[in-house]
Formats: sequence, structure tokens, C-alpha cells
Amino acid sequence: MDADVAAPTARPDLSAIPREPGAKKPDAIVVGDRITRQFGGLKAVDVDHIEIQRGVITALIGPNGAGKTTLFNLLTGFDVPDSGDWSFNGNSLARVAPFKVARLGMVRTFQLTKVLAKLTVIENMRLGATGQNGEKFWQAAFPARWRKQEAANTVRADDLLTRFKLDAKREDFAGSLSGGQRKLLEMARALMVDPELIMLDEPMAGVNPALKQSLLGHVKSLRDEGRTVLFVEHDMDMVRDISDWVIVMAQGKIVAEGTPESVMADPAVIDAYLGAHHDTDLRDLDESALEAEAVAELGATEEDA
Amino acid sequence: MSTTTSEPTPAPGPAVAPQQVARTSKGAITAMVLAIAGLTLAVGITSPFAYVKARQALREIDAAPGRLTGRGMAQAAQILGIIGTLYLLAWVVIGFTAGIGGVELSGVLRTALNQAFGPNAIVYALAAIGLNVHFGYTGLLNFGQAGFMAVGAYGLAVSVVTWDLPFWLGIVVALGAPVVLALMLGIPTLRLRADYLAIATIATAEILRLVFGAVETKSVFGGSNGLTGYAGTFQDANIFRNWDIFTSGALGFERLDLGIVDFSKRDLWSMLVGWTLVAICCLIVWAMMRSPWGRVLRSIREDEDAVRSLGKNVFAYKMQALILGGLFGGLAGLFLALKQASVVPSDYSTNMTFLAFTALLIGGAARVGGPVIGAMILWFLISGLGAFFGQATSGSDPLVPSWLMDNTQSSLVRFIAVGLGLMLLMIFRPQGIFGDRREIAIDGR
Amino acid sequence: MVLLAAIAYVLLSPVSAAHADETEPPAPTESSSPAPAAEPPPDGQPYIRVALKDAETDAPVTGVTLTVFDKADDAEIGASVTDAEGVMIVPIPGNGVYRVVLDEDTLPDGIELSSQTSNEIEITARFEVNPGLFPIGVQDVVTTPFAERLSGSLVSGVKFGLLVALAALGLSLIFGTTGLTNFAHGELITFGAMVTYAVNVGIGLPVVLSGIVAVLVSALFGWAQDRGLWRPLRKRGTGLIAMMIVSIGLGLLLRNLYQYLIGSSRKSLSQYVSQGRHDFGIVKLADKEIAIIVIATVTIVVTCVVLMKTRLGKSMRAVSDNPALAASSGMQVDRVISAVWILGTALTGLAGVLLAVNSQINFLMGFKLLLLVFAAVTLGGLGTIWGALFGSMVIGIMVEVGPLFGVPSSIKEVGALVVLILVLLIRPQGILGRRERIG
Ligand SMILES: Nc1ncnc2c1ncn2[C@@H]1O[C@H](COP(=O)(O)OP(=O)(O)OP(=O)(O)O)[C@@H](O)[C@H]1O
Ligand SMILES: [Mg+2]
Repeated sequence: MDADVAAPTARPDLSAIPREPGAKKPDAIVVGDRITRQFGGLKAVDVDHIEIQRGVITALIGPNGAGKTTLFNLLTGFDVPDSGDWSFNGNSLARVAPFKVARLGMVRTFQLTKVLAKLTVIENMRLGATGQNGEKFWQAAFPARWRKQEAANTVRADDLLTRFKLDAKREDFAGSLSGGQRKLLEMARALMVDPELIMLDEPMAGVNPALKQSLLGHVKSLRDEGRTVLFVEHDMDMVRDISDWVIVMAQGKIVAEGTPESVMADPAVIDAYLGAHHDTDLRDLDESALEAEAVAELGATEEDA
Repeated sequence: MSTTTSEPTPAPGPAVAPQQVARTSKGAITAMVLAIAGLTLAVGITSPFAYVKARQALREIDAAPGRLTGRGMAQAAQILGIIGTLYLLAWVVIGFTAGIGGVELSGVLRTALNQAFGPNAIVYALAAIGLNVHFGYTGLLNFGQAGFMAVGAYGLAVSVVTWDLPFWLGIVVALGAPVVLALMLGIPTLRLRADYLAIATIATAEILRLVFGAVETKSVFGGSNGLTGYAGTFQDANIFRNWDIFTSGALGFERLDLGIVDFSKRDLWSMLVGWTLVAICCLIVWAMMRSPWGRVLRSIREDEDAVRSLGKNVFAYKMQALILGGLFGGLAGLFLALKQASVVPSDYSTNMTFLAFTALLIGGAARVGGPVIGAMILWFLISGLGAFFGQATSGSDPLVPSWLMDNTQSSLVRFIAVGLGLMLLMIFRPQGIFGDRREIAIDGR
Repeated sequence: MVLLAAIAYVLLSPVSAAHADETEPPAPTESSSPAPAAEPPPDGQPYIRVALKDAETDAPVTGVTLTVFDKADDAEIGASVTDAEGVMIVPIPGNGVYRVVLDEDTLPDGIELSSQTSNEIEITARFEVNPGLFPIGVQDVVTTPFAERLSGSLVSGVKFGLLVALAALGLSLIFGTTGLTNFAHGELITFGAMVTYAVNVGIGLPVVLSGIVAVLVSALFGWAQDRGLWRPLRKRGTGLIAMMIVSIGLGLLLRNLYQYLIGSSRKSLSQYVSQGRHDFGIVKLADKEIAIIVIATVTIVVTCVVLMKTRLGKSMRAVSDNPALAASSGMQVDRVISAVWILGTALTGLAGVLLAVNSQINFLMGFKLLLLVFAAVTLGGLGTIWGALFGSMVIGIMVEVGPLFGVPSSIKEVGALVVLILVLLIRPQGILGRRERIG
């Protein structure tokens, strides 16, 4: 695994794709149309057309409250849109239950981490594995039916834990993990499902810089394994570093799309982020300030929860 | 679909080499055995030793975190040890005084122990095992367990009395009815938030009770008098019928006197069947909850959205849990119907659900044995307090003056105490006797 | 006015039936000996027998439900419906004092109890033959149109709904600000009634004064409960489910304590027990019923205005929206919650007071209402004030009007509970509630 991370990987060629909102992709894994979601008077999501390219890392960025998390919820079936339809690998997903979406290979993590606090780390991981005989009602009582599978899953889980530097915490209750460790566990657990498309909602928020670097490597290696990654992130450095394509949302709409470089120079994006301060280039933005803002926001929402 | 490129890497390095296989502390087991022996066989004589041993075990476990498990058991043994010691002391007191102010403590203790092992405790143990599956493991707040019990009991009674079906078919109906109820109740309500589910289930149980007791349905359910005359087959099967171990008791009933407890022939038969059922149910719960299936349930208790995001059909698992726990509840109702040979709608009130919850919480939620120990302790306390205050308020010169408490009032004291006990338990020891504070179903802190 | 006579016998053995006619005291109304149609229990078990007859036409009144309660512990002994001969029989366990309650809703169309008589009688069963005769005045209103009965039920539904609304408002306020699903809320209703009874009958103050005292004491009780129990639990970080279970324990404790204090029988206040009803054309109402409706309405309106307009109300709503934010913006959350408890229990206590005036006092009266209050609050959406009011009126009217549309009246609450479950099926968040955020 580590060897993969070190190997420099060539970014796929996305240069032929037009840099405009709702651009068509040559090989889209997710295609969505006219997806809207209204909360009271607020149109949280109003996406005309969205396509996610297979086999690349796509970043979804946008100011706080842009509707990124809501869009994640809609795509994965956790929330029901007012209108719209979308498909994954050609299967229409409108009104499909979240667990079925996950089984099809589209797995998401949560912005406010959802670890299973009173299960140990390794049990959290084992839960992620799919197709377990032992999870079936009529077979559960007979260990002979599931013991081997469980052992194989455990090997895979231990491997992922090592990759995410959680192996020392293997037997601890997940509730005792720190905020950053929870993010890691959630990501590792999602990988246990072996997803084709993994959707990460701010995976790096609260993870320390050193670990962040190695995590970046992991995310890239996911792409090299052939997976598709869609992630939400406020850290522009990270976005520039690993994403192949960037989609920008503001006030529920997709306002820009393109490669990281092109997007960050796009006046529409700067507009969306800064409103009044027109003249600053997004690249000069004080990233730590942006991040602090995101963390503060996260902290506030976690407190309510 | 791609797989992770992981070669199985054996022996990762010296740091991980001493694989931390946690084992159960021997001291805790010993303490537990001593404690149970003290409460059951040895009149409390082994209980002080159990207490001491349990304290040692606790210290050992805490000194080696992660390597020794069984902290819950050691704590349970410690508490049971205290109870047993008190029990022993009570015996000593009785030996010297043979009673206080007209209250015969040995009689009080006898009543309490009779009930702790008797059929009533079994009914509540079964109901609480069901609630443990619902609430303890899955986090479903089912406040309608009395409804499951009622359909179990009425399933048998209505089949045999109203429909004239054979007894065994009645049993089948009694076990099928809670499954049907679980399906009917679960489809609309399992998608609800915890507190809504509680209200919906409590309402369903009340609807059932009211309908079963209504005048309009009297021809089927027997109205408020309920139904009788279906339990003959059960009573006839009593294997103790011709045993020569019974002596004539106070009222001419034949009883088996075991010194500290005594049971009638009928109760003994009920207890044999009942405790067997309890053992089977515990075995099922144990086998299911250690499996990956049980892991999914516990995960749902923690956060169902997380489980959904991993591709598990949460609704189906909740339904399975509701059916399994409801089946145990139905079994409790069926057993109640058999042991008292009559079903009366007023038995299946919300209070019954609340008491079953109390039993579960005393023993400790999300523990296999919790509900059983809890039901025994609950009945020990309820009947012990009842007998004590009953005696203390009767006679010409009662221990408690009659202006403070008369004989009718004395029967209420125990329920006041249960209410207070439930509050204190929830506040100070939400994990119950068996539970592990770090892994409890309820965040009591 | 046409009067009917109802005769009940307490028969401790079938033989004593023969004596019945001889020892019958002169009845204030014309009476006739009942035809023995309903089967007495075969084994010589004692039973209560009631015959309902139209005094004028001598026709038996059939299909009326009568329920027998043991007066000592209020346990239901049995219920039965009068047969073709107008007779019903309920076996009783032995001698003692029994209460027979006639379900007015089951009276045949066109017949209702006249205003002077209660629908309850008390029968003392002794060993010697002791047949009792008691009159139930029944008014012949043969030509009552459906619309009139509907309007009557609607008005009692509104009255009941208003009482439920007071309690539901209290529950909803407390739930909204603290998240506590309070299973001891029914006991707060009973508390108001108990205090009224204690002050009225025990000390001897008039009912109106006693009611005011009861509301004040209820408010004090709410404040003390929050200070002594719930606030410390919040400080310890006790989970909501744990608190819910604590409230179950508290409810159990209070219920049994109430029974300890006043016993299990029903108690009446010293005034306004039975009042004649005035005829207002389409509805008939007693003075006390008018008073109850007015007091409840005014209280609810004032409460809503307070919650909407004053600073206290606004801070209550702020706390219920987001306690952490409210605290960080300098609000004294604890004081606001204290105020909510005071207001909530006072409203709930008032519901108890009005219920006591409306009928009687019993240790279970609040607990019996609890589910309906929950149903009301859930129906509208937990934690919203308008939802609670709306839900209460729906529940109140459903309970009272249901029997007109075929809901068996002995279980008229069932209809409301079924609707509760149906609403949850269609709109889990309640009718006026909002969905929660995910993720
Ligand atoms: N359940 C809900 N009820 C009401 N409003 C909601 C709900 N969920 C989201 N919103 C609103 O929708 C808007 C979009 O929210 P969303 O969480 O999608 O933003 P986001 O882009 O993920 O922001 P951030 O970067 O801060 O995480 C916000 O204004 C939010 O207040
Ligand atoms: Mg977000």
C-alpha cells in the first residue's frame, strides 16, 4: 500500500471537458438533473445538471451553507429532494433507500462524524464489511456459518486500521477517540464496504497536518485502485493538491467547474466566496483563516447535536 | 470492483506481538459463584467471601486494563455479595429475636424469596428479556410490551375457549400473534424517532387492553372478566402430580417445604416450565448477540444513519429485533396465562410494561442475564416490602401506628419504593447491577 | 317529563330474589319488577342485577352498558349490557360496596338522563337480603335530531379538548425547552385536583379559592421539581432517555403516593357537584361547564400572547430552538427553564382543577389522561405550541364525537389513539412539526 502512495501518479486527462457548470463528462459515474431541495423559504439545493467523472478525484467546494452536505444527503438517499432524478452507473437512484445506494457501491461519510461510540474500533470496522452471513437472522446463531468470513474481514479491517494509523486503538471504544481519529475511523469503515464511489464530507477537518499529508496519499491511492472519490473540503491547499476536477457550489447552485487552477482563478468563484471583497485572488486567501472558520462552524454545529 | 491490495501480513512486528487477547478474570468468576451460592443454597454464608473476592478481582481488572474482562461480573458479585451478607445478617437477627414488634422477619424473607424464584418473577424475566432485545441491544423504546404479552395470552385463551381449537394449536396462535403484532406495529412505527416510537407503542398496548376488555367484544374476549378454562392440558401435564414430596401446608394446600422457601405443586410445575423457558430465551439472546447480527443491532442503537450508510437495511434489522423481543414478550404473556389459568385485561396495563423495564434496568440492559437477575430482585423487593409492611400494620398493636399507615395503605408502600428506586437507579447506576458503565445502552452518566 | 325507573338488586343467592319485591322500598317513581331474563351465575355466586324500565310505557330499556366497580379500590368488577328485558347481571366476588355506572352514551336514541340524576349509583351488598331500589331519572327526548346530538357532542368535545390543551401546553413547553418526554405529566394534572380537594374539603375554603391555591401550589411544585431533580440531572449530563425513565419512576411514585393519601375511591368537591343544565337551543350546558370553557380559553389565549409577545416568551422559544446558542448569547438558560417549569405545571395543575370541578377526583385521573395528552402533542408535532393546541382540540372532539359515528363508547379513547398511530404513519413529525437535519 505504502508503495502505491509514494509512486507519482499521472492525473487523468480532463482537459477536453468544458469548464462550465454542469459540464458533460466522457465517462460519468453519477449523472443528476434538476435536483432541488427546499427548506422553508430557503432553496438549499438547486442543481440543474451535475456529472461526476469515473476514476478521478472530484472536489466539491463552496462557502458555508452552500448546500454541499445537503447535496450529499440527496444523492445518497438520506434526504428526499423536492424534484430531480439522478443515476449511478446508469441505475436511477431517485427514491432509492440509503442502504441500497450504499450496496450499489456509493458510500458516503458524514460531516458530523457518526462513529458507533459503544463499539470498539475493530467492531466498527467489521460492521462495514458487506455480504456477511453472520448478519442474517437465520444464520447468526450458528458460528460455523460465519466464523471464516469474520476472520477474513478482520484481516482486511486490521490492514485498513494500520493504514490509517488506528491499529493501536483497535480494542478501544470508538467513543474514546479524538475528533480527528473519528474522521479517520469513519473513512476506514467506509472503505470496508469496498465502494466504487466514495463520498467524503470534509474528511480532513480536525486532522493534524502531518497525518493530513499521509491521508492525502491514501485518497490518491484510492483513485489509483480504480475508485472514484468525491469530497467536500474547505482547505484550498488540499483541493489543489489532490483533486483532478473541482465543482463549486454557492447558494444551492453549481456556479463553476473546472480543474483546480482554472476554478481558483474564476471570478464567479471569488464572487461566491467573498461577496464584497472582489479584488482578492482566491489563491492569496489566508487559508488558515478559512480553515479556522470551518472548524468553528463545525464546532458550533456539533454542540447542537 | 477493485479490492484493496492488501497481502495478508503475518506477524507485523514485535510491538503487536503480545496479542492482547482479553480473558475473563478468574477471581470475578469465583466471586460470582460464591455470591450465587450464598443467595441460593448457602443461606448467605458464602456471601461475605464473595464480596471480598469480588473486590480483589475488581482491583486486578483495573490494574490491567484491556487484558482482563469481567468487570461487570465482579461488580455484580460484589453487590450480590452485599445482598447475601445482609440476608445472612437477617437470619442471625431472626435466630436471636424471632421477629421485631410483631413482624416475623423469617416470614417476610420467606415471602420475598418465594416470589423471587416463583412464577411471577418468571413472567417479568421473560418480558424483560424481550425488552432487552428491543431497548438494551437495539435501542428501540418499546413501551408496549404489555400489548405483546396480552396478544400472547389472549392468543391461547381465545383459540381454546372461543374458537374451540385444541390446546396445542392455541399455543401456536399465542406465539404467532406477537409476531403479527410486531409486523403491524413495526411497519408504521419503526421509522419514527425514539420518543415517538415510545408513544406509539404505549398507545397500541392501551388500545389492545381496552378492546380486549370492552363490553362490545365480550363474546370473543370475555369482557373485563376475561377468559378461563383453557389451561387444563397444561395443569394435567404436571409431572409433580404424583410425587410424594409435598406436605400439607397452612391452608391445606400441598406444598414443598425447602426450609427458606416453599412452593405449591402447581407453582413448582410452573417454575419448572418457566425457568426452562427463561434459560432457552437467554441462550438464544446470547447466541444471537455475540454474532455479527447482534453487532448490527448494537450499531443501530448507537447511530442508525451510520449503519445505513454502510449498506445495511436498518428497517429490516429493527423489525427482526422487534419480532424476536415481541415473541419473548408473547411468551411471557402465554406463561402468565398458563400459570394463573385466567386472562384478565387489567393485568396487561402500562404499569406492567414499566415494571418490566424496571426489572431490566435493575439487572442491567444489554446483558444476557441482566433481565433475569433484575426480575428476581424486583420481586424479592416488591413482595418483601409488601409482606413487611403488611405485617407491620396488622394486629392489635401494629409496629407502624395506624394513623400513619393502615393495612390498605401498606400495600402501596412497595410501589412508592419501586418508583423511588427506579429514579435513583437511573440517576446513580444506569447500567444496573451487571452493566458495564462504558458500554451501557442508556447514556445516564 | 317522562321518568323511567331503574331497579337494581344485589343478590347474594338466587333464593333471595324472591324477597326482592316484598322488601322494595316505595319508589319515588313508578316501578315494576324486572323480568328475570339475564342468566344469573349458575353456582350461586352473588351478583348485581339492574333492570332499566321506562316508567311510562313500561318498556325495557335495552342495550345500555353498565359497569360495576368495587368502591374500595375502584377496580372494575365487570360490565354488561341490558338485554331485551332491560336486565343486566354482573357477578360480584362478595359483599361490599359497589358502584354501578351507567354509560349515558349507550342509552338508546331519544332517551337521556334527566338533569337531576347522576349516572352512578352505589350499592351496598350485605349478607342479608338487601335489594336496593334507586331511581334514575331519564328524560324522553325521542325526537332529538342527529344534528342536535352532534352539536352536544361537539361542545363536550371542545370542553374536553380545552382541558387536554391546558395539560398539553404544559407538556409541550417542558418538552420544547428541555427535551424531556415527561411520563409523570399525568401526575401533575392529578396534583392540581388533589390540592383543590385538600384545600376545599380539608381546610374548607370555597372551591374557587381552592382552585387558585392549587394552581399556585402546582407552580411551586414545578419550580421545586426542576430545582431539586431535573436541573441537577441536566448538570450531570444525564441523557434524555435516562431522564424519561426517571420520569416513569417519579410517576409511579406519585401515583401510589396519591392513592396512599386519598385512597382509591372517587372524591367530590363540596360545591358545584351536580348542576342542572340550561337549555341553549341546540346545546345544554351547566354553569360550571360554561365556566370551565371560559377559564380554559382565556388562560390559553393569555399564555399564547405571553409566549408570542413578551421577552420571557421569546427567550423561552430561543432556548427551545438552540440552548447552546441561547446560553452563549448571554441568556440565563436555567432561569428560563425554571420559568417554563413554573408556567407548564401551573397550566397542567389548572387542567386538574377544572377536571375536578367538572367531575370528580381520583388518584388515576391524570394517568388516564396522559396518553391522550401525548397523543394531542404528538399529533400536532412535539414541542410546537400551536401543534399542541391543534392536536388537543382534534383529540377532544374525536373522543366525544366518535361514539356518534360507531366507535364503541365504552372504549371511546381508542379512536383517538388509532388516529395518533395513523398520523405518525403518514407524517412522523406531526402535522405542524418539522423534520430534523441529517448529516
Ligand atoms: N434539515 C434542515 N432544515 C432546515 N434547513 C436546513 C436543513 N439542512 C440544511 N439546511 C440549510 O440548508 C443550507 C445548506 O446547508 P448544507 O449543510 O448543505 O451546507 P454546506 O454547504 O454543507 O455547508 P458547510 O460547508 O458549512 O458544511 C443551510 O443554509 C442550512 O441551514
Ligand atoms: Mg456541510
